[in-house]
Parts: sequence; structure tokens; C-alpha cells
Amino acid sequence: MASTIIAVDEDNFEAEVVNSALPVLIDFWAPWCAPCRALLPALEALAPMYSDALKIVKIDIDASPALKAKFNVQSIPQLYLASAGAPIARLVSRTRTQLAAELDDILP
Amino acid sequence: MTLQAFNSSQAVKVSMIEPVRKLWLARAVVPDVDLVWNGHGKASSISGLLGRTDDRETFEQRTGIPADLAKLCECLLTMGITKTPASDAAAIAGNEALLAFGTEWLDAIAPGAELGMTVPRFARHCMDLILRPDFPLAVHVSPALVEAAGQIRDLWDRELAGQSVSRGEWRGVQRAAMSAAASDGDAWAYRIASFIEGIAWPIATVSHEFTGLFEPMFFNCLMFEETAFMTDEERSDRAHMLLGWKAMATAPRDEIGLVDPDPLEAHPESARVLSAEYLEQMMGRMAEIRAAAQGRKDTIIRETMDTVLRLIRSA
Repeated sequence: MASTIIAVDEDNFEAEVVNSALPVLIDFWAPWCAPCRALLPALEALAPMYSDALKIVKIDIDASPALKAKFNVQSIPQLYLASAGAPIARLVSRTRTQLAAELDDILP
Repeated sequence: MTLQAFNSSQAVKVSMIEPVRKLWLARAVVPDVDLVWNGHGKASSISGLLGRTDDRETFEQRTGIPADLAKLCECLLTMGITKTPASDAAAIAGNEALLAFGTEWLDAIAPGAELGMTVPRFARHCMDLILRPDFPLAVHVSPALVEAAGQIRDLWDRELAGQSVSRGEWRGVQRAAMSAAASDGDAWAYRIASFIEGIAWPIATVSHEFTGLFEPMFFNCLMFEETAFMTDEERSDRAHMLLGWKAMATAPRDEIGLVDPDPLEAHPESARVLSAEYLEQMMGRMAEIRAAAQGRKDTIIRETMDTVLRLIRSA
């Protein structure tokens, strides 16, 4: 499966997240984080299902320390739903089934 | 994108597999569920070496093999080997019958084979096993979980028969699976419940997540084989250990991801068997039990490998 998750860093955060017409699900991760790698397939499976309602991006906290600080990320993986670049909800689910249920409750 | 194994060429197959076989037989390759290639002093995985890459898409383009199938095969191997720390080379040990699978799965792939449904069909096989009355953990799986697993298998069978299944039907099954998993309190059922809940999706879409859900469940099933060699007290302690792991894994976390309060406070017996003192005290006994159960575990792993080989050959 080709990745449908957009990689975001401090250079394209404004364009991809702040200016997004859709709410953005941000996956804070790092390449060395095994639970983050385990979560990624669920997010990649969700992305096409919610392509009309949601954009999904991932932010490597090591490569983007300012974004890590902006969202006060102190452990990973960490999932935030953001609107206009600001967090509106934190998602705690870790399987596609639970995440879909959580998103269905949050999204209009 | 439809993948065709080894670019439909026997010559390509041989040219890709033989370098892997040479290093695998020298035990200089270490199975890994992640593609590992030229990794900063870390030995390559079988698949990483085969595709000479650590990138999934590049691996699939070069080999014509779904990365998810490679991941499953590497996962089965990791269950049957011991990695030995070595300063200058990788070192692994294990039952030769299991180690043989390191290249058997590659040899089983026919040039031109389309293997995209191999992992989904293996998922279907796993669901069948869970639902069998002689499943070793059957007494630990609640009727609600059995019902949810049966519903998933029924929808998969309809899909495999070419029938359409609506999003609404899947939502109903997903809700049933989540409810059954959430209400289950059996120490041995947690990983099975997580598998059933996480895999409740159309069969054509489950490959990518499969091994991540299968690995802990399979490990759980192998660990259960050890209980045949335990005393009643040791079995009880193991159950408390599993409940402790579940409590820590599922404890609510605060905004910065920390668990508060300590989830084991409500599980004093779990706290006891997860304490460093207990683990140190039981280390020798647990090694004895693992050694006693190794033959049973190896048999299960080998049977599972044979199932994967059958599915690969029938693709």
C-alpha cells in the first residue's frame, strides 16, 4: 500500500495544516519509535476512508522540535485532530476500528 | 497495483534468492518484521537483503512480493529463533526445522505469482482457528468474542465469494467486536480480543495491519503452551501477569501520555508478579518451563509456516 500520509515539517506546516480546508489528524512520531511504526498501518488504512472529511499527516518530532513544543508532545505516538493549526481533540485509540469509531464521534 | 513475483522470471528469482540463501545459511541475516538493509551495523533482514532496500514500495517494485507477506514470514521466523548478541556479525540460533523456512517461503513463490491475497487468506485461516472448538485457548474466549469472530468470518466469506458487503454491515460487526473486547476480562483473551476487534474490516484491506495484530496474539498462544508445565500457583501468577500487562496497556493516559495513577495499584497480585523481586526469583524456573514447552511451540510455529507455504503455492 502506497503511503497516503503526508509528511509535514516546520517548512510546510502552514500550508498543509494551518491552511487546510479539512480538519487535520496529526500523527506525532519518530522513526525509532516501534509503537509509532505499529500505528502507521492503521492510519494509512484510514486515510482513503476519510479522504473527504479529513487530512492525515505525520510529523517526525526529531526533525520538527518547534512543532513538538507547539503541541506539547512529551510521548509518542500522539494523535491530535487540528483545525487551523490548533489542536481540537486528542485521539487515544490505537487500532483502525477504534480510531474510526472515535473519528465518527468527533467529525461532523 | 498488481504485483507479479520476481518480474515473472525464473532467472530473476534465482538471481535474487541465491545471495540471500548464502548469507542466510551462514546465519548472517536476522529476521525482522521491519525491512532492514544496510542498517548502521545492524544485520539485514531476509526481505531487506532480498530487495536491497528498507523501503516498502521499492521492495515491492523490485521483488513483486507484497511487503506485508514478507513481514508475516519474517514475523514467524522471529518467533522461532534466538538472537545472540555478536560484535562483528549477526548470530541466530533455533530449531533447524524452523530456520529452514527462511528460504522456503521464497522458494515457494512462483515467478509471476500474484500474492496480494495471501495475507488476507491467512487472516481467514486464523479466524477459523480461533473459532474451532479445539482451539487451545477456546475456554478463554467469551461467547461475545466468538460471535464477533464468526460474523467477521462470514462477511469475509461473502467478500471472497464476490458478494458485496455494505459499510453498514461492517459497522455493525465492528461495534460488536469493540463491545465484546471491551467487556472481556479473561487474562488470556486480551490479545485475541484485540486481534478480533482490530481486524474487523473488509478482507481485501487487512494485509497492511495484519502482522501487527497477529504477532502479539500468536505470541500469546505460544506462551499459553507453557502453562502445561506449570504448577497451579504458577498458572495463577501468569494470569495475574497478563492482567497486569493489560492494565498497563489500556490505562488512561493524560495529555502528555503519562499513566496516572499507577494502573497496578488496583491489581496488587499483578504488581507482585511483575515486580523485579518476583521476576528475579522465578528466572530459573521460567527458563525450565520455556525449555519444556519449546517442542510444543516449535510444532505450532512450523504448522503455521506450512499453512503460509500452502497459501503461497496456491496463489
